[in-house]
Amino acid sequence: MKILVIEDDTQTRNYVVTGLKEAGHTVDSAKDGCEGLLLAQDSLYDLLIVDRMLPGLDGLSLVKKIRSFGCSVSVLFLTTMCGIDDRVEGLNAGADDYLVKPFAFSELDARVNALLRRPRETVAQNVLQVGELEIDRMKRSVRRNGVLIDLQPTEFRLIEYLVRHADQVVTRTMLLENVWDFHFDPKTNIVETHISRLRSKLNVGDRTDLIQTVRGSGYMLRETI
Amino acid sequence: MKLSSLVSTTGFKLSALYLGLFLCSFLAIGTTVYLLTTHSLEQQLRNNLESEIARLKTEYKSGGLPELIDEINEVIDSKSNHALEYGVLNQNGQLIAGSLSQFKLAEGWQILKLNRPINKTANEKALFLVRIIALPNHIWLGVGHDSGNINDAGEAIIQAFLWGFGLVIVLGIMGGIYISHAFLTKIDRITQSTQAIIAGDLSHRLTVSKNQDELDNLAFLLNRMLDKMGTLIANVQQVSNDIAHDLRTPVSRLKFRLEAALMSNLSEEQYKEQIASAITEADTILETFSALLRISQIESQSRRSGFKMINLSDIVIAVVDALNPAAEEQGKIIAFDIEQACELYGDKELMTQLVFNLLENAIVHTPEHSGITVNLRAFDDWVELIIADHGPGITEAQRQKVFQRFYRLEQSRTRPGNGLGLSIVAAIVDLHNGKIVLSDNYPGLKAVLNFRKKTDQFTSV
Repeated sequence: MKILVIEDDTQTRNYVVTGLKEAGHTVDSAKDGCEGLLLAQDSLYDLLIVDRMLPGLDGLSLVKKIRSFGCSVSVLFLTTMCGIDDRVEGLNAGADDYLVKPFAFSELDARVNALLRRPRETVAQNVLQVGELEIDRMKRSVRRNGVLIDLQPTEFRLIEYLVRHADQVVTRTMLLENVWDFHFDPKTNIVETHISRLRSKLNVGDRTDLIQTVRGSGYMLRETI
Repeated sequence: MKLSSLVSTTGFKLSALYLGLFLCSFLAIGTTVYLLTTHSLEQQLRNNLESEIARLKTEYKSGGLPELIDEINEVIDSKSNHALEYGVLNQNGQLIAGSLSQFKLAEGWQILKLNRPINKTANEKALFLVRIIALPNHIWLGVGHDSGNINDAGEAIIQAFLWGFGLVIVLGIMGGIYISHAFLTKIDRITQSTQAIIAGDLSHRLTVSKNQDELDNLAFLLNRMLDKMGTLIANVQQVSNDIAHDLRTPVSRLKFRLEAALMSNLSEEQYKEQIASAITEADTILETFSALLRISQIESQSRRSGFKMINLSDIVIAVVDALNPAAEEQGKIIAFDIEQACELYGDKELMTQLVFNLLENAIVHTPEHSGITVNLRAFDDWVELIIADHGPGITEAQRQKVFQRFYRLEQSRTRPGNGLGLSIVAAIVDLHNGKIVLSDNYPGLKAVLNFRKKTDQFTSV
């Protein structure tokens, strides 16, 4: 996948670019807003990673410009602006995700993968099938090998998110934001406890664990075990 | 106070404008009075002359020329109507009787310049209004009267108005100076107060008199603005103090840890461990930073612009649902009684965090195998949320202090947490104009929160 990183801080830029290259992406980079805008217009990228405070043209204006040209490339803001309204402002400008610095590379990697896979989701599928698991979004039912599993609403949202991002690492923060709509960092391990409940319901009868814990990053639902 | 500064004040300019307008109307009234008076006096005079002419005409008709001459002489001699002047001329313009001789032989009104009949010695000329008619047999009769008194009356009126005019100008200028002086004095007070504030006395406020005029209203508003700014400045100072004092400790701890690791001879595994724990330490510091910034953002109250009607019941249920498994894992039971559809005007994200922080605290502090209760009730115009645990509680003396930043009940600070959780709670409650009261739950802590449902309370802020 082809990614453009627009970031003025050399150290952060190198860190991100190197990491993404190691993860197997083709990466270009720009060190200010104007250069970034030119590159983004010239070539076709799958994803833009944009800092908000950039020299030349700030990140917010850059994304608004790109969107005004009718460009639908995925955009992730990577920024130190962690104000309560900053995130909403960024997403309203047309970004698809918002990650606050400092961040763990695993978090960025997981979000990048989620964004790159996004086009698949746009097809409104009511029934999702991943390996042994089948989810009906209309009936809100989950079956494993055809056996109905009784889940609480939160547990259903959790498994639905994991299924939609099957074979991708999903971080704790991503789950908090997307399943619970919590935009703060709780001390209590609410993700862990809910995942553990979900696991016990999915794996009734000592079956193989569908949800894999990725150490230091998050969780992953494997399509094939 | 200089005169030039007085003249340039709004008060003086307004006074001058009013004065100008007043003088214009004064002039208009004067002219009208002058014209009306002189006109009515002249009309009266004309009527007098007309009736005298009519009387003499009748005399002439009954007795002819001799009767007319007799009558005129009689009137002149008797001096009963001495102001009137008479003249009877023949067709050649020769004077037959009376003294008026210079009029032209034409019917109608004429104005002649003649000697005053009363003091002929002074040889004073005066304007006479004369009525002339032609009598049968080519006799011309003229009766005139000194019109000087009409002019005298007019002059008197003009004079009176000129005096008034002058008086109004003098009073107007004096009034203008007085008003602008009073205005400038008030402005000067405001200027002095402002300079004191600029000089650094941020607690200084403008004086508001009891007059309640527009300047007082302005001063009152400025004072409120200063209060608000004072709070914000204090807020910023508080944040920088907090950062300076309370973040020094964890940062130095991180430094010591790294220095210790650098100096000791460790295996690769042990180094990795040290680095991992240093990263954890750094994360904690960064979290504290975010929390501090978040508190100051909430306290700046800019978030109110995004307020809308939110369903607190849904929020509380979602938070209970999120924390329940964690609580159960620790053998703690959350008992809840939540009234449906409790709505209030506020911020969903912040309210979620508020309920979360309180319930999380309750779970942390309540001992194993005991319960936490969550109650949500709606009343006429407010909602009440109660979160109570059976933990050690907080002594009465400490109940207000726990809302201060970095205040922690256990001074050793061994438990996780940055001492900001309840500060965030307090800031969010304050943002929503709510109230939080901590009390004893016998045993444990009971937090009672009240929020108004209505929206108008924010429009006035």
